[in-house]
Amino acid sequence: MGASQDSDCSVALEVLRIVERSAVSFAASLPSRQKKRSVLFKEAQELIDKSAVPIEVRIAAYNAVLVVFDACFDAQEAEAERLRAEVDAVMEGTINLFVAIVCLVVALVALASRAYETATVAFVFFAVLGSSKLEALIRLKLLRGRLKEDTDKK
Amino acid sequence: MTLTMERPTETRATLGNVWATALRKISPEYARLEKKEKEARENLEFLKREREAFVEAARRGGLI
Repeated sequence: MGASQDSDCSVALEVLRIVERSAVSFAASLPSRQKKRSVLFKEAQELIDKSAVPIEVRIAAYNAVLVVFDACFDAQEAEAERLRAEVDAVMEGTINLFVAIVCLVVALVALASRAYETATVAFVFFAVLGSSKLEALIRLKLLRGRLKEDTDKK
Repeated sequence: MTLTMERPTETRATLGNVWATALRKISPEYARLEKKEKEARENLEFLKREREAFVEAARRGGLI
């Protein structure tokens, strides 16, 4: 009975070690590590599939691996959404900045041609778009700084 | 009256792609950000596939 319990404990410990290693690997989201992660999960799966391992231990290991999967999935999903929002913001900001510059050019040309009404309208558009869309430039500047920090850390 | 978001037309999508291509050329930071976003989405797909395979294997093994 004691020997059987020792065997159960060592199997459970082995499962926990695999789950722990899988969690650490999954936490890193680099594509080059996908293969490694895949191997680790296959390892866990093989152990879970072993019929010699008691069913309770196998179910516990299965649940633990699923928890790791779900936690990693949520983290990755949040990261993907954050990056998508950032890409969209930069894109939208630069489009508006471009339109604002076009408005400024139109306003200056109109002013030079003494078409004061057109110039006024164009200046108003430039002021409305330009004031908020200077943000796009700042955003790009900040992004540059942050990416540089990331590179420096690596 | 309710305002609904317009679905992007083909022309708008094409213009968006042209703009994105131009931004990629002008700003290497934007290109890197886009690349990171693409990698994150690929990772997400990978996780989804792995999870499905894992659950399927457990089902075959009679665990669930």
